[in-house]
Amino acid sequence: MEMTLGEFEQLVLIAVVRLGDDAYGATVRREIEARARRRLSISAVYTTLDRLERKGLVRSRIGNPTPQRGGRRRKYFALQPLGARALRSAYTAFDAMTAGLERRLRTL
Amino acid sequence: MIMRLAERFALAVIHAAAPRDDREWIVGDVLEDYDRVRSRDGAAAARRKLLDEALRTSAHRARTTIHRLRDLKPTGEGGMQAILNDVQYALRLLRRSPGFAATAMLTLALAIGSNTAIFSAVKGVLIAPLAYPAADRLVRLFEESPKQSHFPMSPADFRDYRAALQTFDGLAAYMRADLQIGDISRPEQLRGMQVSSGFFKVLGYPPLYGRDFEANDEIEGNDSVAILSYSLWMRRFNGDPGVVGGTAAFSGRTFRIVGVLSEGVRHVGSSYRSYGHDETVDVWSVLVVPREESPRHRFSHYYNVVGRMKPGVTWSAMEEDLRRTRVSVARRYPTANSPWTPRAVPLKDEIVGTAQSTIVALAAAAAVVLLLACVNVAGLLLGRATGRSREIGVRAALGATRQRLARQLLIESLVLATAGGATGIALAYAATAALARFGPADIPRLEMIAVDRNVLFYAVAATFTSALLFGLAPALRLARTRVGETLKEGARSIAGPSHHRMRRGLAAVEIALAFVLVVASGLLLRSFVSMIDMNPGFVPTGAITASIELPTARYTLTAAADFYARAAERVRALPGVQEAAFTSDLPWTGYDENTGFSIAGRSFPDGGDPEARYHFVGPGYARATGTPLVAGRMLSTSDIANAPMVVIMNESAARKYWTTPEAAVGARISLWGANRTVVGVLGDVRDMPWHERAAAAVYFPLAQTWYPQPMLLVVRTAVNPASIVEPMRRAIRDIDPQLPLSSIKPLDAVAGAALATRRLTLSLVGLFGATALVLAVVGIYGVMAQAVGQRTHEFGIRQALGATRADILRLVFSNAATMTIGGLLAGVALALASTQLLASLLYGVTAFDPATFGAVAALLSTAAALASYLPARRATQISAASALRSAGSDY
Repeated sequence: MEMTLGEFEQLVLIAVVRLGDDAYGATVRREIEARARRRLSISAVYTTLDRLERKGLVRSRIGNPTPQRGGRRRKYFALQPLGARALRSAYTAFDAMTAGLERRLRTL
Repeated sequence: MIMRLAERFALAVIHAAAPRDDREWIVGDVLEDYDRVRSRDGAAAARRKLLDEALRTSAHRARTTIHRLRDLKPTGEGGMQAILNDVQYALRLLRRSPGFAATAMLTLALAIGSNTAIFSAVKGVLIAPLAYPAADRLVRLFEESPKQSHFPMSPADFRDYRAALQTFDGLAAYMRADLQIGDISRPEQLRGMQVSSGFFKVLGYPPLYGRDFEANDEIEGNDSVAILSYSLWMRRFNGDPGVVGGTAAFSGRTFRIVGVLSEGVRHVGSSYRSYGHDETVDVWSVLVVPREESPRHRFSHYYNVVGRMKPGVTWSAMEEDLRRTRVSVARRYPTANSPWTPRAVPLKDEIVGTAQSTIVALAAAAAVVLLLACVNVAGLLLGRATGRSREIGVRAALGATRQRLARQLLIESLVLATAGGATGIALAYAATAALARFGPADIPRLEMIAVDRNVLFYAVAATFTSALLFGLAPALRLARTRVGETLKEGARSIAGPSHHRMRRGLAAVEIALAFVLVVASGLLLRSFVSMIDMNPGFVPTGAITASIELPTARYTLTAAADFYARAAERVRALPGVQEAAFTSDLPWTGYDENTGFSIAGRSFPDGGDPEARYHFVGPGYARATGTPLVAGRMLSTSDIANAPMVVIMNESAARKYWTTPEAAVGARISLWGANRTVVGVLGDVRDMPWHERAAAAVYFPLAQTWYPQPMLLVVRTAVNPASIVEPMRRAIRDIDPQLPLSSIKPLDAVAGAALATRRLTLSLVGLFGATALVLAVVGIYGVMAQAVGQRTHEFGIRQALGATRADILRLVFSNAATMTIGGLLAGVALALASTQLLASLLYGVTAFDPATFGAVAALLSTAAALASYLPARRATQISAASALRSAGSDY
């Protein structure tokens, strides 16, 4: 079944793709804050990532303890085939809808 | 990593708000980001980011919780409508038991109302920023020596520091200098301050018209310039902008008016030679800051100093700047300056200062009352729960889930709390208005106390928190009711042993909380009584005081001495007047002028030179104030300028420097460049009634040394002091028609003002204590009455089996005693831990006063016994037959 993604879910998934092996809460948020210029709380990022995981779009693994975080572990996320398909379909739809409109959309 | 309190707090919030499953990585990520920002943008940015994160995380948590609740459909019924039904049901239930509803609501209203009022005081006085632009950059500067802390600066030090400090945008000095305005027909004493150039720039108030004082004004000869307060400008100058640049006569001197201030300009305030913080000043003149080097500008400390730090300067950089400057000043003037180090205090801390301990103690007391009220209402609800077990059982049997039942019961609590909270807010409005209007004058910023948005938010939060506190336990308990058992066994089933343990536990908590508050009131009461009982050293009643200032433009030493002598004589001659005398200050008003002196034939090892608080008084001072003469003689009318120079010492000074008062009489001291003989010793008067002892003091005769400061006339009368006011005014007017009398007050009102804050604290804490006592008694009564009611059946059987009335009484009382003793033990522990909060408000009694603790324990035990007596008596009156019959009907 094709899964439709919410806008915030798309942002999170794209950040996960971009970050590759280094995708965990703090880096995902940093990407979104830096690129999309949105301020968000770290727990909102995890709420979304957890939901994406429940839907089978990403999978997580717990990293090793690192001393600079007071020994706290990181939770890394990676894209799953289901997630890749959902993201691709969202992107294709967006791309198809905006084709030829790029310039107008930018100057709206 | 070392973190400040704010960071720790923020982390704790994030930790609490993060979902449990994700907590570890969330906190880890936050710490990682914190370190990144800290190393990139500095500690302040990292702190801001962390606080922001805490806010966002909590907001996110709140949103997700709301979403989850919304998704949670109660079985069979949908969202909002069901809740409305519950509210209606709750209202119906409360209407059916108006006694319960009123008790619970009033308890909550009183508790929430007092907490809201106290919070508005905490916010207005302690938290709200000062009304200056960028007020957090304003600091007060003091000088400290091994012998003096928190001392004003010397004029020369002020000048040197002002020139050398680099971390300040400006430094300004100020001290009180009243002026008079008006002609013979309408003389008026104005509250005035002398301030150095740039004073208003330091505060951040540009004048409404004209300009601030400039460096050039500070030079002797250029100093006849004044700036008007808005109120004086409106009142005496008709609000005419044209006055700027013109002249006006103040105190017989012509001043050029260089500026007018806008409305709402608040004076910095100080406890020394100054009016308090607020719009307290009518007119501002310029302070002549001496340019020439002279010991008298270096050794006398009397400048209040306020400064504005440059933006971006940290506190430690500023202190480093002070240290650097101190080293260079002390190198240049080693004798004068080596003992003195500058000390900076944030202006707000300085203004709020002593009020803080009072307000914090009150806030703590109010919080305890709220807690107590919650426990009490929880007890009431639990009591009602017994009667409702059937109803709940039936509803459960008809298919209501536990969740549904718990929600219903929680909504009942919320309805109660909302009614209580709304009434409480109304009470808080009344209380804050009264506090702002009638609060004691020595609490600063009273006008800031008001119920505003933050205060309302606090009240609403307090309401909901208390609803949760008192509603949760009963709701969970009732909802856990097992259907079968309630219907089978009837009313007694859910009032089983664990239910009783809970109610008794709550009653014990009430006793413990009440103990703490009653002990606190007891300690404050004892302090107050010992303060009042302590011989004040003077007689406050039967005397009236008035302030008068001789303008230096018209008066010199001889003219002033002549005026004081004639005025005292004229007033003394009025019918009903026993004595009249002038003095530089009144007892218990915070007067603090000090001088060093030397004693002929004696030397003191370095640093130990004699020092005394100096006062100026006229001949009748001892009789007028009721201060006893301990040895020697009082000043007489012949101690005048060309007679031998004399002084009076107080008993403290005599004992400190001569061992006995008698030994001091006849001693020769050198003081203010002249040799003087000690001719008498006056009894001690402490600076403030709660001070341990009086400071050493020396009294100059007004007629021998020129002291151009406002003087106070003290008149002791045999008749009602108020009847003397008009004749007194006339007598002064006859001698100098241009001199207004101001601040006319009975001496006991002046003395009473010193105790006003303590009296208010005492009555509020006492009120909280009394409320606590009543709540605890109600709580105990409720538990006992219910326990007896439930054991009717058991008591009946016992009596049938031959138990006497005494046996039954013993049974009931032992039950109450366990509860009371448990509560008292916890109360003692709690009180030991918390009465330290009061330490600074206590006098003549320690925070662990065994007598107070014992008396309060006795009081609470008696109250508990009385509260159990009625139910116990009822228990003995149960007839075996009727008890068994009524119990039988349950089956």
